[in-house]
Amino acid sequence: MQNQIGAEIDKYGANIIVVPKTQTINLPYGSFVTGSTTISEQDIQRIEGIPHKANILSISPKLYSQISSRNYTIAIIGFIPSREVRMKPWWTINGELPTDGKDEALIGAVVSSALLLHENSSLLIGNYTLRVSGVLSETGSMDDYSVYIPLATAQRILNLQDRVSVVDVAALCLGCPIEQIAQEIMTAVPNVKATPIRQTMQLRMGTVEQSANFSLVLASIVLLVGCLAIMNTTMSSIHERRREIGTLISLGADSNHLYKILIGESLLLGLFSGAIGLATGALLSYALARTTFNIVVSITDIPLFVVPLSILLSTLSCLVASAYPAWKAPKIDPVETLRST
Amino acid sequence: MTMIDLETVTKTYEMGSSRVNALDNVTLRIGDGEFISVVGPSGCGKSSLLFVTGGLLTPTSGTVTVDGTSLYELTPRERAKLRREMVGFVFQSYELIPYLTAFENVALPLYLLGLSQEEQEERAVTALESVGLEKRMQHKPSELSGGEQQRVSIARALVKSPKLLLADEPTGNLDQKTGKEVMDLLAYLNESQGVTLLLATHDPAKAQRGARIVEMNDGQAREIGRR
Repeated sequence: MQNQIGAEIDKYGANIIVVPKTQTINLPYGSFVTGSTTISEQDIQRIEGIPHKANILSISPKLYSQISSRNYTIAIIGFIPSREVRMKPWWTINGELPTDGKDEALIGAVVSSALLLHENSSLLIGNYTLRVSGVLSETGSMDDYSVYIPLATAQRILNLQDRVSVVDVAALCLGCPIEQIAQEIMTAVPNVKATPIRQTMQLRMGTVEQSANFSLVLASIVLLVGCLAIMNTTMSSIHERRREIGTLISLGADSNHLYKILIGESLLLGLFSGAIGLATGALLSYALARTTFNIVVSITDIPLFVVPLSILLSTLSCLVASAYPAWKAPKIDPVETLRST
Repeated sequence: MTMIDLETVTKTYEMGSSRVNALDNVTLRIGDGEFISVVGPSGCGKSSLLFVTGGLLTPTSGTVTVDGTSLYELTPRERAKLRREMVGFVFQSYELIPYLTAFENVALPLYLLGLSQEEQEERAVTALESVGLEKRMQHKPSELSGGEQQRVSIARALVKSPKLLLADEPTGNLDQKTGKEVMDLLAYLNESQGVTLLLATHDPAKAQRGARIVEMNDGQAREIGRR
């Protein structure tokens, strides 16, 4: 489940940023990097072939530049629309995403209001006229000040064929060191610098840990409540079975016999309920994961140690909860229960 | 030889500010293999006498000796062992375990004695056969008539071959005919197996089956007849 939650959270942004290794200084600003050096598109294919390639959820190359229009400086970002939206599921677009290879643009909210542009407006960049295919709703980020153009179109406008400025990488990395994936990228493509975005990682790990801790606290409370319920049920059961216990005492049962009988029953109850609880828990995880996180949990995702652990916990809970009622049982007065009426 | 020796036994209950003597200075000797009937109205102390004799009710004063052992000088665990090995109880309401079959109910004292599964089975079957219930062994108490349930209860008491059988109103819930059958069975077991039988009943006719009749009144015991 933690893996699945981690994977789900991984969708919310890149956690490795790949920039050219350069003698000049690239200036990162949020996900925005300016600089004169670029990465070849062929290098991207090499990133896709690293040993931990299975951990890479998405690779989104971008080409950055700036233009001035009507006294405004606007960021131009060449991108692959289908990959970028996978990394930014929070985007809300009024209109449509630009189509790869076409002269279309997706503009940020601030650009839209400053330049009075809306869907199907024309935007002039250099000698090219682009159709505004959609307007991004306000995000509170650099995206509000940006114009997103399909990568091939941007490369043509900027005369930087097959070049990109930065590659955003989203990696699924719960339990695997993100630094290792970054290092593998730098080994595969020696002229780049791959930097894990610590803030994203820590946020992601923090969220996963919080979720796991919350589950643990919840499970502990449920266990405690379960123990109290078992204790209450066992006490009631022993009260209802007073005549039976009185009979056993009259037959010569001593406290050891009664402990053995009552604890034995709890043991069986614990084993049986543990098995039922395990099956129910697995089914509920499957159902809740689908409805709450929209992810699919397979039976194989349940670690093997959970099976004996849950049955052991259930059995121990039953034993602990029934210890007090079992201790009380031999103190029942048989005369009171057996006296003829 | 004396099987039961009650020496000035008193059992007093505190009822608020007043004190009630369930047994009041009772002295009674019962020989090995004797059949004694205890008669008297409800609340006169018959059941208390049986419970004290069976080691279930600690007297306020006096001594209770069973087969030479002073019962209440034993620890509760030693007393349970003695009861397990040599005392059988038969109750008015049968007191069978409802979710066990007749066979399992009868085998229960043998389980408590720690006998092997095979021995439990063999002896339980023999006991049920001796009370004529060999065809009803796999029935639950709810599937048996009152007479049959009481016979299961007697088989359960006898399966461990006790020296002492304490029967508290064993025919109280049975009709005349079935009651007589149960009494015949108890008398037969007393005669054929030499089991000491202490029978509490409020029915004078059934009490006549005993060799001696002891009357209880306000906790005091008095022998009123001898056959």
